[in-house]
Amino acid sequence: MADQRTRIGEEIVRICRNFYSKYEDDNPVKCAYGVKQCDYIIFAGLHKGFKSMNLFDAAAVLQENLGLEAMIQTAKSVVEAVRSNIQDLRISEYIHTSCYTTGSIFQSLESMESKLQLIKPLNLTSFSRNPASSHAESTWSTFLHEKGTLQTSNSTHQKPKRKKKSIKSANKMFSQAVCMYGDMEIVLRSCKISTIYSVSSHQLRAGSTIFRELLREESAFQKHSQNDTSQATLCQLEIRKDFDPKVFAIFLYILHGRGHNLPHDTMPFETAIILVAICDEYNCSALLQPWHGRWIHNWRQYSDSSGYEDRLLAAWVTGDDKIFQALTKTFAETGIVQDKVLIIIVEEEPGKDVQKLCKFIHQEIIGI
Amino acid sequence: MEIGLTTSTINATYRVSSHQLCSGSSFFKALIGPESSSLEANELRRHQSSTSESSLFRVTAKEEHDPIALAVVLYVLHGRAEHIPESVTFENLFEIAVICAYYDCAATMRPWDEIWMSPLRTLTSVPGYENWLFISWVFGDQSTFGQMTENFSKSGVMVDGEFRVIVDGVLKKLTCHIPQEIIGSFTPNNRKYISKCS
Repeated sequence: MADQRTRIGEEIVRICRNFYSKYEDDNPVKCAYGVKQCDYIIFAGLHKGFKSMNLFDAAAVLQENLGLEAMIQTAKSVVEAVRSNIQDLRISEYIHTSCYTTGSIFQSLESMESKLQLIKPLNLTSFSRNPASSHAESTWSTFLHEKGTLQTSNSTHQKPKRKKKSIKSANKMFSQAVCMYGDMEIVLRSCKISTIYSVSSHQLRAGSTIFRELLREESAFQKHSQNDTSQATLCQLEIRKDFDPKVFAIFLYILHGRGHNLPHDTMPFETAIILVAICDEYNCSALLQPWHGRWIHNWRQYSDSSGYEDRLLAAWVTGDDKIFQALTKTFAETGIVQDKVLIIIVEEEPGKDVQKLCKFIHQEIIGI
Repeated sequence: MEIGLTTSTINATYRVSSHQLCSGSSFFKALIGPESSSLEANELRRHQSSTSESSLFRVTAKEEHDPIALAVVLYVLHGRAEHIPESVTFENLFEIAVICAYYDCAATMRPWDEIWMSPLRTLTSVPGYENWLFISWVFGDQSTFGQMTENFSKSGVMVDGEFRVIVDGVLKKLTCHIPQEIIGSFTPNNRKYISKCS
C-alpha cells in the first residue's frame, strides 16, 4: 500500500513538474491560481456536487454546516483519501489545475484557514470618496413637518442674490429656492400663506405643456416681463391655487430633476394624492413614473379600503389599469355625483353608512 | 450651452442647460459654475451676456464616454423622465456609472440607478460581470458592494501592482478604475497568500 502511495505521489510530482516547466518558476500568479484550484480539488473530492460550485461557495457551505475546525479536519481526511486512492480523481484535473504535489496541499490548507477567517464584505461608508455614500437620508414625516422656510436635505441651496419684487400681501410669506440659479419665480397664493419659489423657466417649459403655454412669448406673463426692464428683479408667475406649498415644492423639485434630494420612503397618502393631482393639473404625470414604486406603490394594497377612494386618481394618472378598473366598477355601484363632485357611500361601521367626498377625482373620470 | 462628444463612430452634440449641469454635478459646478473663475466659466459668461454670439458655448466631453449613456445621464440631470429608459443592459449601466463617476453626479441619478440596477443584481456572481464592483461603488449600493468585495477578496490577486480577478481559471483585468484604497482593503490577504506559497 505504502509503495503504491509513493508511486502515485511520484507520478503526480512528475506530471506537475512537466506541466509547470512551461511557466517561469517565479510567477506568483501561477502560485495563487494553483492554490485556489488545489482547494477546489479538495472539496471536489469531498463531494462531487461541489465540482460545479465555486470553491469558496463550497467552503462556505461546509463551514456553515460543520464549523471551521471540523471542515479543515474533513478536508485533511479527503486529502488522505485522495492519497490512498488517486484513481477517484481524474489525473487530468491535476494536470490542468494544480501546481502542487500532494504534500503541498497541506500547506494550502493552512493558508485557507487564515483566509476564510479574514474574508468579509467591505463597508462603503469606509470610502469617503464614494460620491453617493455621503448623501443624507430623510423621511417624509420630518420633511413635511419642518417649520419655517421650506427646506430639503440639500443644504447647498442658495437664495437668488437678486432682489425680489415685493408682494403686497398680509399673508405669511415663505420662500424656497428650487433652482439654485433660477431665472424666474413662482408665487403660490393659497388661502393662508404665500410661497415664492425660485425656478428655472427652461425646466418649467420643458417638463409641462401647461407652463409652456403660460410662459410662451406672446403670453401676458412674457409681455409683463419684457416691460420690466429692471435687472434687479426676477419675473414672477402667480398661481392662485389651494395647493399645499410643500407638496407644490416637491412637484417643482421633480420638474427640475432634483427629486433625488427628497425622501425615499413611502409618502403619506394625502401628500401622494395631492402630488398626483398637481402633476395631473400641469400635464406632466410622466414625471412621477420613476418615483411611483417608492412613493405611491405601497398604497396600492389599500385600494379597496375606506378612506383611500382618491387612489382612483393615482391609478388613472399613473396608468394602473387593474386598480383603475376595479375602483371605477365599485364607484359605479356606490357613487353619486353632486355638483360635479363624486360622493361615495361607504359603510364605516356595521349598519352606519357615511358619505365620502372624493375631491381629487378628475371630471373626465366622473363623466365616464 | 452644448456638449460635444466625438468618438470613432459618431459626432454627437447635446444641447443642455448649464444651470441644470451645475445643480446636479460638482464637476460642472467647478468648471462653469457662477463662482468658478476657470477659462470655461468666463467664456460661458461672455456667451450669456453677448447678444451677437450666434453659436452656443461648447464643452467637449471625453471621447471614451459612450454617447447613449451620456445622453441618459444628461436627461436625468435635466429631469426629462419621458426620455429615460426604465431598463438598461449591464454594459449600458456600466457606461452610465463611468460617466457619473467622472462628472460626480451619481447621487443625482436617483431613483433611476435603483430602477436600472434592480433587475441586473442576479448577475453579481456571474463570471463576466465583475464590473458590478465599480457600479455598486459609484451608486452607493452597499449590499452589492459588500458581496463583490467579499467575492474579490477570494478570487482577486495583485499582479505587478495591478488588480486582477480569476474568472473560470483565467486571469482577468477589470476595465474600470477601482480606487486603490478599495483594492488595498481586500488584497493584502492575497498578497500574503502568494508570498507564502511562492
